[in-house]
Amino acid sequence: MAVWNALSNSYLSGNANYQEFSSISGDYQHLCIKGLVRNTQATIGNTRYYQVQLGNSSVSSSAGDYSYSIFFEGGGSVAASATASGSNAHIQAYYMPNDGAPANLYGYFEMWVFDYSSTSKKKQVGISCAVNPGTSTTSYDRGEGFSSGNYLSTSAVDVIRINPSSDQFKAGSEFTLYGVNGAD
Amino acid sequence: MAVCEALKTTTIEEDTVTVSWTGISNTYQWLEIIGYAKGATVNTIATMYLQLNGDTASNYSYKNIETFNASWSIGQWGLTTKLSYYMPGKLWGQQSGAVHIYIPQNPASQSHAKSIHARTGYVRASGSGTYENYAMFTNGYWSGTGDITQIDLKCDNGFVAGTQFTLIGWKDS
Repeated sequence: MAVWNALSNSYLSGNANYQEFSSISGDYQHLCIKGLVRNTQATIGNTRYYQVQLGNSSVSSSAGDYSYSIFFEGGGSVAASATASGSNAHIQAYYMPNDGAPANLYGYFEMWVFDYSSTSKKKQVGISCAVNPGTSTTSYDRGEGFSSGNYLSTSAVDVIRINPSSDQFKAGSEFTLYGVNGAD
Repeated sequence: MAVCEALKTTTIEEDTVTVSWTGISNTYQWLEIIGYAKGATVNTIATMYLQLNGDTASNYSYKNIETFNASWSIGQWGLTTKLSYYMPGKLWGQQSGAVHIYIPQNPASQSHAKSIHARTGYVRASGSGTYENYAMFTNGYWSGTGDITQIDLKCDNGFVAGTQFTLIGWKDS
């Protein structure tokens, strides 16, 4: 079997409330999602971030299942935060371009879920994403973030949902789910 | 057909100013450059430039966060003629810096401007001074909305022999 396998590709022909990959096969070692994303919020200063949920059969909406740490640089500053389990029912990642960004500009998004099909390990999630500079030099119109998250379940993950914190993913956004294998 | 294909590996055999990939197919959704690089400048640090489709006009902008030894800084540039990344200069012996650049092609043949994400870094084996250790994350933009057919990596005084880059193409099915 190939090391990298494209399992599903979603190109949004219309605006969408979220992107979900379900019934994910457990045949791979890790999962990776690569995306280009924009949301429908028209005002550029109204930042929107990612909320990622995972689960088995259906995504978990239990805050006790998630914890995460975020590093983000925007404008001229760097910010970091840590959120303990029980606070939010998702893993957050900052930020994505919104519809006030330069035309046709969609932001980089990459997410890994390691050993996702294990039934003995809690799951580790890594996310990188960016708000693109375009022609603006305004804080939070441009920046990039890195998130390290836990999905605190030992159940195999077979569904992943990516939500914008508010508004919708803009038509033209794209997500591709890859299954990644190690060498035999 | 493989989802991830190494399109070309270029190894510099003598100091070279420009590494160019041309005739890039639009059948890929994303392009990725991985490699290790060092500038021929006899200095602590050198700058590598990225340009797409031979575009040398002011159609690029970028923002980055840099760590140098124990300090950090943020830089941002409005429209300019290229994207810039640091790599070690020739002063630091034989060690090269790591390069990872991620470029969307033209997903679903849409007219997207390009969001270009890069990570570069270098740690000198022994030394803790400024420019002996750094990591750099760069969030770049190119206003071109068409397919990418050409990528140029440049260094004013050249990349040293031994620098190597591999261009990888990613498909979504």
